Amino acid sequence: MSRNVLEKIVFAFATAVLISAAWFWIGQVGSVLDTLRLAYG
Amino acid sequence: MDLYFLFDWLDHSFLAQMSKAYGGVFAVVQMFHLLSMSMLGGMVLVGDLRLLNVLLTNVPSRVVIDNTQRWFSLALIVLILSGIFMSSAVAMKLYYNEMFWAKMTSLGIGILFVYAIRRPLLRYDHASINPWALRLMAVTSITIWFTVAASGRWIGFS
Repeated sequence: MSRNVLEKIVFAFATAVLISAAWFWIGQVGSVLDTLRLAYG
Repeated sequence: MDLYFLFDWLDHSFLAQMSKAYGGVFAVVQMFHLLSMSMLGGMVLVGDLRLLNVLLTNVPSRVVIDNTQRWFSLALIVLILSGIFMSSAVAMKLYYNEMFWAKMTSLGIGILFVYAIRRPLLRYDHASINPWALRLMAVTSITIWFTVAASGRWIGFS
């Protein structure tokens, strides 16, 4: 594959991965905070 | 696709018998798993931080990337082999564990990213690559492998 095509794939792939990772970790941290809230009020 | 049959098979395999019966063998394999995880993490950080111009800036990025990629592949092979052995001890438990699937998904994405995107792009002269593509690739790589490691650790608490 040419360099230009690979660069475009990087931009698309990276955007998808970073948005998914942010969504995933916000969800995980949120569930921990919920548990702490339940435990300690 | 339901992979239940695979986990059921693993749960009744010779590997499972060995990993359940011999705690010492499991501990040694786990040690190799953790050592290769630290090596993989180290290679990811060194390579990606070099691409971000944070460390080893006096060494050409081509040299750093070529060296780290070799050790990354070795660490990945040891990680996968030792991981299969360790999974056999708790195969059915893992099948129903959400974080295990999060880890496997991110591992699959990571392998696809490294071998289908990162390596082919880094074969070109680094100076000719769009610097924003390099930076974004490094940040994405760190994010993916952090997710693999952290969700793996999270399995133990979920």
